[in-house]
Amino acid sequence: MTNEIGRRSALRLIGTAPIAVAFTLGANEAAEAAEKAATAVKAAAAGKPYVPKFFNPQEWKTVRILVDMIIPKDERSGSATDAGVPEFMDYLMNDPTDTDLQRERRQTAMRGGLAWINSVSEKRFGHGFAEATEAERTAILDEIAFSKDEQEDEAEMREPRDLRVMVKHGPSFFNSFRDLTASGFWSSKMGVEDLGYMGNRFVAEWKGAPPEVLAKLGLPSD
Amino acid sequence: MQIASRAKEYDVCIVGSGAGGGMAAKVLAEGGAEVVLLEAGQWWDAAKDGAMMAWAYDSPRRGAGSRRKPFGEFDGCIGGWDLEGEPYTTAEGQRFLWWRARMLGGRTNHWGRISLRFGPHDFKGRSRDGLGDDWPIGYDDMKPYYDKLDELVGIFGTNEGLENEPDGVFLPPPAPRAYERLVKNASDKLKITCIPSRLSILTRPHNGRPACHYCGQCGRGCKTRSNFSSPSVLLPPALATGKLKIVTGAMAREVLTNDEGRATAVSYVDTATGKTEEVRAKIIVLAASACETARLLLNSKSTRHPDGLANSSGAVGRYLTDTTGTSVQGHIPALEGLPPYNDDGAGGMHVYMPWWLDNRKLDFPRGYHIEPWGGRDMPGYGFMSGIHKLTGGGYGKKLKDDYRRLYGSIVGFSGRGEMLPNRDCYCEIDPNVVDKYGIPVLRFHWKWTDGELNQARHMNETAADVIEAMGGKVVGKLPGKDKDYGLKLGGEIIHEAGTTRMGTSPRTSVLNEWCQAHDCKNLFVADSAPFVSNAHKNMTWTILALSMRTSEHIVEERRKGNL
Repeated sequence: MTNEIGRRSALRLIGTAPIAVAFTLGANEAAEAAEKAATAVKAAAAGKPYVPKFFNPQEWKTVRILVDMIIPKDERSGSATDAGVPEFMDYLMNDPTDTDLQRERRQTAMRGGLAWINSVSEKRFGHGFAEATEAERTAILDEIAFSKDEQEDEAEMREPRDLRVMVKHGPSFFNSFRDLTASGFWSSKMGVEDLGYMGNRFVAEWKGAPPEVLAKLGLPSD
Repeated sequence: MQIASRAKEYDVCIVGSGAGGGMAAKVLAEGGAEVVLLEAGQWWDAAKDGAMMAWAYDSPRRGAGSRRKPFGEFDGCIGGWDLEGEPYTTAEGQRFLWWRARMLGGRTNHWGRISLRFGPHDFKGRSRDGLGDDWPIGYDDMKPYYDKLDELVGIFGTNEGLENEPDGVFLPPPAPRAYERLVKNASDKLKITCIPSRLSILTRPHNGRPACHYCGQCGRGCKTRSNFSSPSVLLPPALATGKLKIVTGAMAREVLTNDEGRATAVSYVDTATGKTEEVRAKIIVLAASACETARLLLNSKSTRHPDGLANSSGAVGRYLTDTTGTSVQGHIPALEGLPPYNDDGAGGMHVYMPWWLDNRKLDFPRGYHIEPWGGRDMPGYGFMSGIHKLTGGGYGKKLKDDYRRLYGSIVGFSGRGEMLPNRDCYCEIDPNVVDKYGIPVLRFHWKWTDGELNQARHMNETAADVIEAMGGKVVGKLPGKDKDYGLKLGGEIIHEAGTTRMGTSPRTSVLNEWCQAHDCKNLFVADSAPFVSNAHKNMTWTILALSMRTSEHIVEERRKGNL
């Protein structure tokens, strides 16, 4: 009685790297979750800045910079911060129904990753990531954001030799952080509309793909 | 909280409210029996409690999975492989995952509605290839029940005249999605059978239930009852007889027997109070899921049944199987950048590939089928997770465009195969561990054989061939021997069976051809524990048909005064 739909809903391109597991574990009480969401929305409506519960001020700055570097505003939709991704991350770090062990793993992976990026920035530029110039930030991300596979041979990674040992941790964190950013952005109303997802509605008569889609695929319309 | 009366003796006590228990409740209550049904979990009604049509952004967690909802927070099944206070153990160095549902309807709230009949070959494996054992019944014995089941529940599909994929009583299937048409074309090219799937989802109004509205969210619980679950289809008519009492929060501890060895009552823990209660009945039907049923029997020791109830053969807990499973994903460039359209459809695949080859020419003994998936799903938690495996990752405007471009272009193929029972796969009572109710827990033993590993390799290679024939490329590398060819862990496909198998001999089997215990005539089993073999065909349809057959037999025997 396998629930194939459930298995598929995440549409994961790949299973789970260790650090990603730390992000994806969690437990749920829907009612409580909805209440927390309402609180965040209310705070925004009242013009009060959101006060993160997990991230400290330095981390919060770093998170907001990073998510917008990953998913920036463009002509079609807003940025990750516009879509509330930092708030989504802050919520998940204290998911009320995580077990203590899950919460600790999740928090350590996030806090440690941000601290790691910060330490690289300090070592190389003499200040933290949030204080870095755009060029400095880009330099760091260019070194950790393009790994194909964290298990892949390190020779294929584009980092300078002197950073190699440290930077191996960078792609692992960044891959998970990118995934989490994508989860937050594309599952938002803004993201759903950007993608042109047309479902989640009552369909009186199911006819399969429309003719213009079939034509593009070179398939005959029945 | 309802408590079953200690004073009353029911005609039948059923343990478990899923496919087997729900069907037994319906047939027995309609057949005139006073029935009490024990369910370990909570009451749950999809119409009130389900999350159909919720958006990911309705929750700050965006649909992420959790301990009680491993398949996402909107999933309609409360359960998982890791239940608080309900541990199980595995033998040293071995791995097995045991899924339990804890809610009304059990695992029928959790499945792909894939409703496949076992075929003539599946009941007579040993006669065909000398491996495993034959069932004491054959397809001809089961066919009338499958037919009645199709008509009762409603199922879409097509009659194809395939020898081991029997025809049925089908509603018309939904048109395939765009990517499914590419799968079909590729399969035709490769001479792989690819036909409309057979799902218990209504494409026409049926027996008072409305037709599907194609939101693709069967797994969340259907508020219009347009698909099958036990609480949507079986329990309402059973309750309407006025003869069924359902007790939720009732975790069965033991089946009690008298000096003659007959079952007399079920003792259970009221999970709300922690108190042990007892309900008496003339007939006991266990449908708690294969391993939970075995656990209950093994924990029911008495002087007449010193090794556990109905276990003089020693076969209780043995012959444990799961379905084998692998998953390969491909990136199909042709599906990139299509104009937006609604790809949801029914809650599951519209086409699938039943077993199409001859095992005599292969290095694994039994077949598998393939379930394709993909499309422009509702974006939620986990969206395009792992994109770096495909594009290298990156960040910024190009990454944002990559997500848009790749959305809907990933097609996956899940292989689901038959394993043979083997002596290293079984469950027993762990002598040292109890759960929070004080009930001794199961310890699992599990080892794959070359048959399953070779089958998994073949599944992967087939998926890769289909992906290539679709003009695509496998995402990542096919897992090699060092990774067991990507074979999912035992229990991970959630199709456990065989732990109280049927048979003609009381020395080698637990149940007779009517799923009645050889050692205890008023004890029956109505889940997947009676299965002698576990064909790759998702087991729910056979649990339902077999439970219907067993239950009708009980009604008949009661009428004759034999029970």
